[in-house]
Amino acid sequence: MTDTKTVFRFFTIFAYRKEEVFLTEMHQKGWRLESVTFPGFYHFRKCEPCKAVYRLDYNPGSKDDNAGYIQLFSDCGWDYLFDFCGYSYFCKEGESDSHDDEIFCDDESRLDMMHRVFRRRLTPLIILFCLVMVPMFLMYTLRSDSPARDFLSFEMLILIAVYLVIFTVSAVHLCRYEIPASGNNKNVRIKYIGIFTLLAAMFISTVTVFCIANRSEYEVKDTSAGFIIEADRLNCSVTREYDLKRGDIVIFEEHMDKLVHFEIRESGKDAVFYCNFQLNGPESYTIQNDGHYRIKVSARRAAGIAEVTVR
Amino acid sequence: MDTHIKKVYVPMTETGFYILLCLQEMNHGYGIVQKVRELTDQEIILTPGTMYGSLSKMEKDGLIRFVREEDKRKLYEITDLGREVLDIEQKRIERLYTNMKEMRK
Repeated sequence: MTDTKTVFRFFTIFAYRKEEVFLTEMHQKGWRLESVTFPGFYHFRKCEPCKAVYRLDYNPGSKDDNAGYIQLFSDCGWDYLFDFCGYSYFCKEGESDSHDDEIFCDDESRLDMMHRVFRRRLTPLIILFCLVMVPMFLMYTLRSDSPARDFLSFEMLILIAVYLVIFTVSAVHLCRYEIPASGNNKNVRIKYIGIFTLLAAMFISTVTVFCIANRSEYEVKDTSAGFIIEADRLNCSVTREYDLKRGDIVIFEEHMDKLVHFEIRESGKDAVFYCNFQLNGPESYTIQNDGHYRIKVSARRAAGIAEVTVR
Repeated sequence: MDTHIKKVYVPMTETGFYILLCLQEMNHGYGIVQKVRELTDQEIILTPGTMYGSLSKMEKDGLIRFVREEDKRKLYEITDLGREVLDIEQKRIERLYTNMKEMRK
């Protein structure tokens, strides 16, 4: 029979109490905890079955004073085992009275520990939730032509950039440490070349996708009485200038899959006509004064045909 | 005294009270545990998780200050703010005591 044993158990971050009970029971059955590896492999070594208490503290902030932290626990009779995922594992062997086998003696300090767990472990998840999950939901649920979509797509681009920078900086730090430590091992170098290539590829492809999505592909045909825009993807505005007389009628018509904006502006003045519409028939405006006019058609990521006719 | 300190430390927990009381003389975490055990005739045995957490919190809030390290043990002592909190606590406990004496037959 071997004298080591590995058990897989998964405890959520707040279930440290259950974990303590599990470890205490294992020790009573003659298995002393040696180490824990991700995501939940508990490695034990055979020992004399005896009473022992296991306790977990969450105190990542103590790392700059780790020696003092461990010293205090050891003065109080606790053996420090190791750290795993921010938790410090402590063990006390032998019979002891009940209030001596706790590491917290009041509810307030126990609650403080829960707060530390919450702040360190859940805050990143909440940030991710607010910045990623909620915008994704809105993006898929809101009207497809909502201006929020542009904002969200931009926000996602920034987030991806931030993540890639974080990954790259971490990889650079690790690489600077690991390559000399491995004695310039070839496999380690290849690993890092792979990682950096992957990061660069992700960065380039994200930027490319974003640029393509925001680039316009369209054709403008000038006709005797106005102009027609045929677009695969219209991401900008198209302006034409005309000298118009009082009584001229400008007709807008569009067959596009997104909201389209039309505008008539006399040179150097405020717009005389402005409309936003989508597939609800032609719209027209009668010119009130003679003058030089700019007619503008604009849209975001729209495909289809828009037509301006002057009569 | 700012409202955060008042909210957190008035009234004090038993642990917090004994830590401040003991740190009128410079001491380290385990020293406080021993002192309190002696003072309370083994009734109150402070535990290391609670002690470490309270010391860190009180140091951050300026009730105690870190003086120096001795054999890996950090020595702390009370600050003026800590004394102020202790004074408030003393008055509160005195009032509790007087009221109890008056009311209980």
